[in-house]
Amino acid sequence: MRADRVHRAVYTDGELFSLELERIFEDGWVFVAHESELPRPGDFRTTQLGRQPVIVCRHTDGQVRVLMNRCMHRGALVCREERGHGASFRCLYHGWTYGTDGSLRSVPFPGGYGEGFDPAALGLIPAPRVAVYRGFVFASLAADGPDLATHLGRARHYLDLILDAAPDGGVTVHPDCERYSYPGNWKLQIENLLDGYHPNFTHQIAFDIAEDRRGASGRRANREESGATARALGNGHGLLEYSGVNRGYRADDADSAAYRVRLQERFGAERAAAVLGADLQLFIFPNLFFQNARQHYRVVRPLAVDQTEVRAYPYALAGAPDAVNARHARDLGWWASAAAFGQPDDLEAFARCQEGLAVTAAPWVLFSRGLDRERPGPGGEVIGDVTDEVPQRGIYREWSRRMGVAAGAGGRT
Amino acid sequence: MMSERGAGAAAAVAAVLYREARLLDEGRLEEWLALFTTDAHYRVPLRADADPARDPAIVQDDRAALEDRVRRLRSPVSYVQQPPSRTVHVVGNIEVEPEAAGDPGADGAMWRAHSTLVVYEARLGQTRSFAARCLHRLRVGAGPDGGLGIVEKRVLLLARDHALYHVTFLL
Repeated sequence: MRADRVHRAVYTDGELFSLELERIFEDGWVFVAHESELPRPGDFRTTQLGRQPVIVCRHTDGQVRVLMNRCMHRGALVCREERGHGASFRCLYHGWTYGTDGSLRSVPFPGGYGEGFDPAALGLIPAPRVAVYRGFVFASLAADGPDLATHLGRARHYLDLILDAAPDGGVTVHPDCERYSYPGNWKLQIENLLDGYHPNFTHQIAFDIAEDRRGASGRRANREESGATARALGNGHGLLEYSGVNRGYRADDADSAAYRVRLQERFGAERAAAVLGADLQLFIFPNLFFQNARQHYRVVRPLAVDQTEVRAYPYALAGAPDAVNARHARDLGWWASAAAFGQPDDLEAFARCQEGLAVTAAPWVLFSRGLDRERPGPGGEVIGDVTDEVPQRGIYREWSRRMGVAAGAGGRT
Repeated sequence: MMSERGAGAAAAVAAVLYREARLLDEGRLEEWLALFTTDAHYRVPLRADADPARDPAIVQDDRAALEDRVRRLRSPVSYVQQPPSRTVHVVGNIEVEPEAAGDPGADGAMWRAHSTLVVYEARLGQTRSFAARCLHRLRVGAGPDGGLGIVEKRVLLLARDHALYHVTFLL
């Protein structure tokens, strides 16, 4: 049985939304930060796992810790800044102070507590599981479950292709990110990031402008038979694969030539060609998305059943020309800011979807496109043409598995 | 002491800011665009000390991108502005200063205007407000009819680090 549709309640029901936070964002692996945001011991940033505030910080032992941001005394956040640097976290309420390993370092007027008081048992609670893959830090609030490598599964193949573009040691995230929000369900954004069907319609004006200014746009790549593909990678991960259809690194300047040579030295000619030719939109369930042609990743955060926030982080590739890294950071806002030429039209679509989904007489959202022509690929992939809704079906297979609830109806009518 | 000519130029700078606001609020986007010089930049940065060469920004337009922005606002397939936003731009706290020594009224002389801006936007039954500090840099003799032309407009939003719903009308 193949689900080809999703019930509207999946986007509009507040109880289902709470269940999503519990079973997806407060259970399995969720991306929380990149190590380059925390280069020195004492560096921290705050974020959330579902509804729950956490601190991601680097301890003096060099390890990245993920700590629940909640004073063990009376519950206040112990870290109130979005990011910063410090040797400890001191609660504003009664001054309990914790180390960057979460240990309770000091309690004011300790004589007021009796002999049974055990500071060692009152450290900040660590996330049960933290794992890092090539600098990307993931955390899980579940003590048990598949390890990160198992979760990433086939997506790792494509993540490696994206990250190997840094021949000299990985990526460094820019300190500033683009941010936007919209009055709609979080899954409208993740479906859209893997949707090769909409660009020629939603982004018509952006493509017109891009073609007039730069002679190229995503118009041809996002057509049937373009050769580009849409793929479900398992575990909810998905991919739009434009390699060989879109650009890759084409710059002819001396720095870019040196960069290509460096990639060949590091990885060999074949791998270097694959890395340089890769044009990928990769989604890692449930909250991380890469678009390597615009050299950034995005993080999706559900705030309410009908409210979502997204951040887009440009990154520099170690070993890539400085001018290329700078250009990607500088130009990201052309597509992905709240005032951009691209993403805002999507946000308008999400808001209008959320409104339209109030119609009860039409309970189904259809993801049947390409069901008759999808085909198996390497590593358990399911592959369709770029306009097909293969990745969305993959997202909802994982969603149903994690939620223990069917997202839709099987088969076709 | 500022020369009489300089004082006249200072008043003219403030007048450009007010006129700019009215052109936007009346939807006279082509006339608004004509206030900008051919080498103009329009920026909405993510931080006060952003480097336009290598930092991301909410808006980072050169003259061509500014023209594109107007084209897009005029397009019937710009869904994000269908229906379009109505706006009121409130400009205040204008401080004007010549950018360098010399005759500030001479052709080519540069001026700076610091101002505060509050924009109210009404669209689809909702009103939003955006507060900002603005910097305008203007060049004498480079604008319409030989007046002041805007070389740079920088809008530093109060909520520059917030996740905003789309802001595609002109600030």
